[in-house]
Amino acid sequence: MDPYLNKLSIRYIPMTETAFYILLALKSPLHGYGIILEVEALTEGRLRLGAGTIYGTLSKMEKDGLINVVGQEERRKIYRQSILGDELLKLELERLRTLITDSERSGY
Amino acid sequence: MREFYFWLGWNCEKFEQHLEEMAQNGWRLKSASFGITILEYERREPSKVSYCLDYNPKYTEDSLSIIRDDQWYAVSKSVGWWLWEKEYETEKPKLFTDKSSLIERDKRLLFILLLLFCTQLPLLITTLSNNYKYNFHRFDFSMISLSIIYSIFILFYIYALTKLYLRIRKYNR
Repeated sequence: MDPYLNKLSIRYIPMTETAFYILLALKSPLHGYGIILEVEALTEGRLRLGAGTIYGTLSKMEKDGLINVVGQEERRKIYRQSILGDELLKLELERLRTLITDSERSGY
Repeated sequence: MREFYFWLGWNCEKFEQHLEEMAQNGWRLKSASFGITILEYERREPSKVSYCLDYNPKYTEDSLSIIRDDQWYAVSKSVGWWLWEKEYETEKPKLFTDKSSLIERDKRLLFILLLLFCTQLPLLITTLSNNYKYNFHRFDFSMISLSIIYSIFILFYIYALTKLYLRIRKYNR
């Protein structure tokens, strides 16, 4: 595995729901508030992320290279998953699938 | 209606709760001054309002636009503190829904306090030592009171830093 990806996975995996859904939503370019709405839609109303949490997590993810700024609309930045972010999300999904299969094998 | 409310950086929740109760009783915060401690209320219909304090002296335009898009309104801001409010009907909205973002806010405050403490400490120490050097043989009232005041200063900083550090530790568990 890419050493930088490895370093990121130690920090981000297992992923919090916040990070997971932000990365998921950013498969398409969105601005901050758009992410809040998209995650609410993806989770069918279950998860309504706070605006404070969003701006903090977005700046952290941008610094770590998980997301990129792909545009600007007035004062709003438009973000999108980077290749690194995509790979990290796939690692997390792999981990979650493993958990499911292992538990099914145990009879759950 | 005016009120003085004393709060410190590590008991934001109590302050937020107080404002929310006031709003439910028909007193809506109109403005605040002196580091958001002198509060001015106006009489309004009882309403459900969620308040949230954020410490961020360096908000980016983008961050502000995200918060404002989500219908939060900055009732007051002072010395890096922002007091946000949002009316709601059913579920109480929160600015921070994740532990890690609360930790980040506390870390921002901790950093600034630490910075202030480190810049003020040498000043306090040199002043105190100068006092003792020149007044060693005299039981000077002013020297004693000065020492007491400075000690209180230092103790407050240490108390504040410890409280914040423990809060951050508690979140991480």
